[in-house]
Amino acid sequence: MMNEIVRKYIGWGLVLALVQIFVFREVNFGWGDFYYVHILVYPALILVLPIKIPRTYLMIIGFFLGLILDLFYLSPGIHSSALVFMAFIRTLVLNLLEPRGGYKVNSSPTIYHLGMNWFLSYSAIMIFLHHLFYFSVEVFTFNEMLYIWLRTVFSFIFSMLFILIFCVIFNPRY
Amino acid sequence: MVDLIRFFLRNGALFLFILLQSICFWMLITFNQSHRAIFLHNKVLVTAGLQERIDNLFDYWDLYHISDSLAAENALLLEKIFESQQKEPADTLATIHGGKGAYSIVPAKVIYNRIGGRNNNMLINRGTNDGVDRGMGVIDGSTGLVGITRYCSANFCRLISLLHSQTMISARIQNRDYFGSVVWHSVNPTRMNLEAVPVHARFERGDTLVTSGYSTLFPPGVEIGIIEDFDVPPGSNFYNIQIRLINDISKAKYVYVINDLLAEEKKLHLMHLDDE
Repeated sequence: MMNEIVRKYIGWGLVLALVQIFVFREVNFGWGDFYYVHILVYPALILVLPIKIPRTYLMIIGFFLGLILDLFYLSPGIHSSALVFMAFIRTLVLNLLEPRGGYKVNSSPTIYHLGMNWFLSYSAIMIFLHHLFYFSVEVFTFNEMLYIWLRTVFSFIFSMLFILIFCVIFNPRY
Repeated sequence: MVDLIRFFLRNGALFLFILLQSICFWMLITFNQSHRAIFLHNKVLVTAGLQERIDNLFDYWDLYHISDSLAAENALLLEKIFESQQKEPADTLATIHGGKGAYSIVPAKVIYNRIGGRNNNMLINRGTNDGVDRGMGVIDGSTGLVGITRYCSANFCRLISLLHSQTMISARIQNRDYFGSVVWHSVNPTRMNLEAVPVHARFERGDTLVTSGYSTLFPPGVEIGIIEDFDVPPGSNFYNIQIRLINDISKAKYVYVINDLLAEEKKLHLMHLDDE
């Protein structure tokens, strides 16, 4: 049972990484002078991992998933840094959004367990912070704040769309 | 001692976070500082083979386009040959350097390219085995620049794209002889900026920008782009010039690496210029 669940999560991680590398890496679009959209779907894995998983393990998972993406983006450190950050703040966000009566012991923060409304606010906070961190690290200077914010906001909208589609289609239940 | 261990255990997540982030930033910084390339050197090798396979998959759709551009390229080269035959032999560099050309050109294929980020990288399928090495310019056919080689392994080479925050290319306004540096400030992959042209310079919209040849990266006279708009920021002594690139970097597929055969000798002089 346990092994099956682990295998399932590894499978999702691979699917997300492959989709990111083969499809969304090639997608860059904008309007006219406006080149701000880059869709990132792989943070969905960190979103849906079980609640009871320790924070340290989560960060290590994030680090290695990020490393795989960095290898294919030729951008050492950027993706892994953002994912480690996202894994680190997940506990804080979960505490912030804790429903009355707390979480069930063996549940995951998914639509199946906690409903669409809860998942929307949860994923919105997480993905927005991830994108903000990602684009800040990519630019690596605070001289270009406008650029960071524009990219964050516009990429966030499209990433959310695709992550929600992913979560509705696969609807993780563990 | 026990307290110390307990402190570490209690704040384990925080310490791990700091540790992992330091690793990430270390990678980031080594990647930005060009001299410590060993780590990346290995990484280029790891994924380059796979990357090439991915690229072959996408190649199929581009074929139409490429055959057209290759034909145009060949035509242009033929033109050049004819042109050079008409010139006096003493004019050409080939004779000055004892029959050896000043540049050797290595054709290469782009196997990874991205234009969406602030610092974009590319990968080409030529490496040190083909005579490509660090710090060589890469052009897109006869007009338009593509990037500069950074880390080379035996069979592959990573470029910094022209669309990179560290790009700085010495350029000259054709027929007017003012020069400046081309940099990328914007998020638009078709526009770049020309900096350090003094306010007394006279030029017009639509003037062509070419490489100056003041570095060992690019030979003089390769077209870069067209001046689209310019203004003088208040209180500045230099123009702020926006240029439209002549080539579409996102479509760069078959590129040419320029190996300046006299680079070592030139660098020797360029290096000592700053000391005096």
